[in-house]
Amino acid sequence: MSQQAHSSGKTVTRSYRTGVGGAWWTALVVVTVLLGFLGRTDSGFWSGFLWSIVGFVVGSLVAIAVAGRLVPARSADEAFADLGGSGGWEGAR
Amino acid sequence: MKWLLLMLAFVLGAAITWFLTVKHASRTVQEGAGAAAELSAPEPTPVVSPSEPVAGAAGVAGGADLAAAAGAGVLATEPAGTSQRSHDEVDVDAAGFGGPHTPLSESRSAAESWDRNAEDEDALLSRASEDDADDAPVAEATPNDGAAAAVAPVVDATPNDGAASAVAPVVDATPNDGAASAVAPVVDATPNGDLAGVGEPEAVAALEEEVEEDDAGSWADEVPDVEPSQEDDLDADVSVARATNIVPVADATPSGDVAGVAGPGALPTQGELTFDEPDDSVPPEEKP
Repeated sequence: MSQQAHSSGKTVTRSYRTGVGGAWWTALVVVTVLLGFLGRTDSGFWSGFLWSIVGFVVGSLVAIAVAGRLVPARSADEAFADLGGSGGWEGAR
Repeated sequence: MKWLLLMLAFVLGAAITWFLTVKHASRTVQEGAGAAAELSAPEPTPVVSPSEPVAGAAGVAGGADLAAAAGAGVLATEPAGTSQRSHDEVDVDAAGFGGPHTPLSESRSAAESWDRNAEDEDALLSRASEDDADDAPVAEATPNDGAAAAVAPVVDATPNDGAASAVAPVVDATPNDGAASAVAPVVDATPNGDLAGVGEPEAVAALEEEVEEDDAGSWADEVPDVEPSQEDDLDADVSVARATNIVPVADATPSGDVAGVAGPGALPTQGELTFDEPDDSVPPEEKP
């Protein structure tokens, strides 16, 4: 929730939460396979792969919990609800 | 190496998930009204009118509570700190379980205001019942509230309901009877005090004196004018009709059997032992 001031107006940047979607599953597969290959020389592929899944899932749960605590808005409209109808959208990133 | 992979996966998972879930949006706000609205946006305060229904209130009772609270000034006298909370706190409350907090109702019911440690069960009595007690103390004094009010105009009533029903001018008013509201005031009362305190104070005092005098005697003296009939006695077995066409019998056995009623060929009476003659059971051709 940062605010950026401009000369003509004020650009307000707000944060909001969204669902993880299919990109998370893709990241899970890619990351765990890469980490499995990295640990292949030490303990084998499947050991590194499975432990990577555990770490990735636990890290995701922690991130979701922290995001839910710090970012209460669930949509852009809810994030800018207190601003009313004035102003225009600049974009989302 | 295994723990290194685990920690690396943890960090990557947390970072990727954070970037996937948390989005940022920018919005340009006009310098004048928009900035003022953004920086000092007042907390949305519910506007409640005592005479109008409240949106979100559960039924008429909820609207009445809110209306009463608004009338009592609860909403107006809400602590200043509550209305000055930041938007983040409000958003957290709204996003939390159960939604934002609502102000408590000023008028608490008896069950809510009752202290469990007080052990005073009378505190559960509603104010309406207390008001009723103040308005009608006489009716409250009698054990049977509704019945006493209904029995008030009864002229005479005895403990025996069956006997009382036989008295002609009496309106049959049992404790469960809610009728009889237009009969003369109480003249006589039973010693059990069912009707005491119902009529006028003078009549009640007279009744009490009379009852005290009659306490030495039996309550049966109260019903000398009542002639109990068998039809009035519900306990009497009147299902068997009385026979009226029986010819009077002059002789009867001590056991109650009427002699000669069944004729000469009658069976042996009860209690008598008879034995067949030996010759009667043998056919004539077989007799020696």
